[in-house]
Amino acid sequence: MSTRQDLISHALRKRYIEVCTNARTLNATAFGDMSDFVDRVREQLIENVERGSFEQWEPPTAWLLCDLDCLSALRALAAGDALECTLGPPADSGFLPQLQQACRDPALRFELLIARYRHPLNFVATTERTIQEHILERLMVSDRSRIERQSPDAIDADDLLLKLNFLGIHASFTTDLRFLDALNYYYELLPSNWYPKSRHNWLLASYWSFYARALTVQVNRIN
Amino acid sequence: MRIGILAHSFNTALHTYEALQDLSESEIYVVLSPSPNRSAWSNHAVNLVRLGIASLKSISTLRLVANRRLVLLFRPLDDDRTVERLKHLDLDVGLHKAGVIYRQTTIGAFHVGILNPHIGLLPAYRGRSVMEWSLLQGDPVGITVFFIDSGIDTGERIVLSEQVDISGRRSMAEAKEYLFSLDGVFFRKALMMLREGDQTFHHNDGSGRRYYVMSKLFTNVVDQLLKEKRS
Repeated sequence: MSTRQDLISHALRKRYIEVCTNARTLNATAFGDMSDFVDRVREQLIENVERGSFEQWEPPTAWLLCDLDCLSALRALAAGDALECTLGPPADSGFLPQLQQACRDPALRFELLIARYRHPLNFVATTERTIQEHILERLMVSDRSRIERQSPDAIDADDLLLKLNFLGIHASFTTDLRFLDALNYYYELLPSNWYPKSRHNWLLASYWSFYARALTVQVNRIN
Repeated sequence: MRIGILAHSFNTALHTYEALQDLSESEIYVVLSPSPNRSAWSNHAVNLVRLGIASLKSISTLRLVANRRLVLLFRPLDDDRTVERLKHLDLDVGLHKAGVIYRQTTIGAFHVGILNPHIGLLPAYRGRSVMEWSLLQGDPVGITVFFIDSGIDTGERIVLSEQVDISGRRSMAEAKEYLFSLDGVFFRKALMMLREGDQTFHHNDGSGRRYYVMSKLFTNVVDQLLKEKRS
């Protein structure tokens, strides 16, 4: 292993331990109906500090269909449950313009994303490259600058966290470090005691889970 | 060739001006526009003070004023009246030293275009923190001078692109400062190539990635990498 790889691996491993350890501070009761889910994720992260093992995910070779809705599927993936799925026809290719048109309407964008990615692993499909880039850009340019100028409460938390969830999933599959680094950046940017008062605030816990998974996948890849 | 250095701050423009002032067959203008964070009057008041101080140190600054080649703009660079003023100056090439993204109308006010000394090797490294990203990924670091368009480092005409050795730099901040300090040298090389009619541009084909501001985690890795390289 080169010095460069060694330094990256060491930094990611250190961050991984930090994320898992900080999961102790996740207060499940702050997530209302979803406190059981958050508690499961929290326990999983705490237990995983040393093991660093997560359920294996297979990259999709075709568009996947599942019976759950996107949000239930995200919770299942974050908690380490298996998702039943079948292969379906490819999704329509005109999704990016729809997302771009909804750039000033986070609620609509949220609905568009959960409708398209009912099976969240479809986000990593090669057909979704322009969407992946678009989400990365939104997070690292407009959302980031708004949070830095104002505060995390200045933007729609559900929209932000959903995008971070998808990026977290993608970061477990790609060798492109920009996606993992967006998660690094947001981990440093969002206050550790930030509990958004949004409808789907549990997405914070699933984002932590996907982030921890992506870190360990990358460390294993380098080693 | 008529050249305009586009900047908000006189000191920023002066650094580039001093590197280019003896370029033959060229007329160099300094075009100062208001910073987006300041009013035009306060911006230029500060600039005039800096101009006064610089005049005490260097005769070339006085010459710039005496030859009426210092242009103060009171509206942003994309304002219609500013664009008209720029067209009236009849400049061939603009040199980007202002912290803005240009609209096509502003770019079109220059006969050839606006040059940008980007501290990354295009087409691979577009966007922000590209020096850091190059180091993190084990790729060479360098400077690319290209004609900008209204996108982020997507201008198709690359005038020159060269690797730069930064192994002697002690920190990331020092390495970055060093690369930025070379802008005058690289502008000069690019302008000489343009003046000699060597206009076979390399093509910025958009095949690279757009990079974003880097996290503290990876920034620290890059800093350590530089220290390792030096020791």
